Amino acid sequence: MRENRKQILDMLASGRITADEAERLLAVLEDGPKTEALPARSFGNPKYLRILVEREPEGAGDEETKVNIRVPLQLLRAGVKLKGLLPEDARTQMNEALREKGVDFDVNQFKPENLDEMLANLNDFSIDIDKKSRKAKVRIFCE
Amino acid sequence: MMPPLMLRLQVERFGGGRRFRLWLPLFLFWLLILPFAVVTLPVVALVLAFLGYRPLRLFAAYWSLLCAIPGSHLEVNGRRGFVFLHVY
Repeated sequence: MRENRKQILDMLASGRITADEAERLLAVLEDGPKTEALPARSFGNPKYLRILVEREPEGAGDEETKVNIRVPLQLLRAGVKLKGLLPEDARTQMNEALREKGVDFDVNQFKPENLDEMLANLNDFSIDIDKKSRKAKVRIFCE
Repeated sequence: MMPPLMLRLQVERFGGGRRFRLWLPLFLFWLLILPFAVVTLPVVALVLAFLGYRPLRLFAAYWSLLCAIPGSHLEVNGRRGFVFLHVY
């Protein structure tokens, strides 16, 4: 909990998030995860990464937008294995490009085991986006 | 481990717009390129080995990537239209 709070404050200090976003993240952290509304899922041996986006209609005559993406996890694992075949220069360029976007991530350190660990921890990830009158819900989970 | 065998693509534009549906038999494509691949792969492997890559490792990685594609699914239902893509 304390670690997460420090991470949010670090992101605010480095300018990666605004004060409003930091406040919202801290509020979510204090409230704790809201798991009661989410359906129970089995994570024995997940095969797919699922991304669901639902956007509420803006007004009369507008229709709800739905996006449903299913990516085989094997594809992600194969992609991570391909990383080892990338030339050193390309990996350095990728790291630099990520750093320019504010993502402090070293591609060289990423291994297939890390992906499995990340997916296991992903569980059922949900983001609510509320931008003026446009409300959307993004859910990312394994199935 | 099987490569993608069939692709289904559907694009629709609401309000009397165009509708496009396609079932693409990818297994025919693999059958077509198989003789070509048998002839060219040894040459490609030699070139890759000369350039310092490990051809067998590279082919295995690309094959596993190709075989992982089946099951991919994309569906977008928007206010203007509908897009559906599924790889079998």
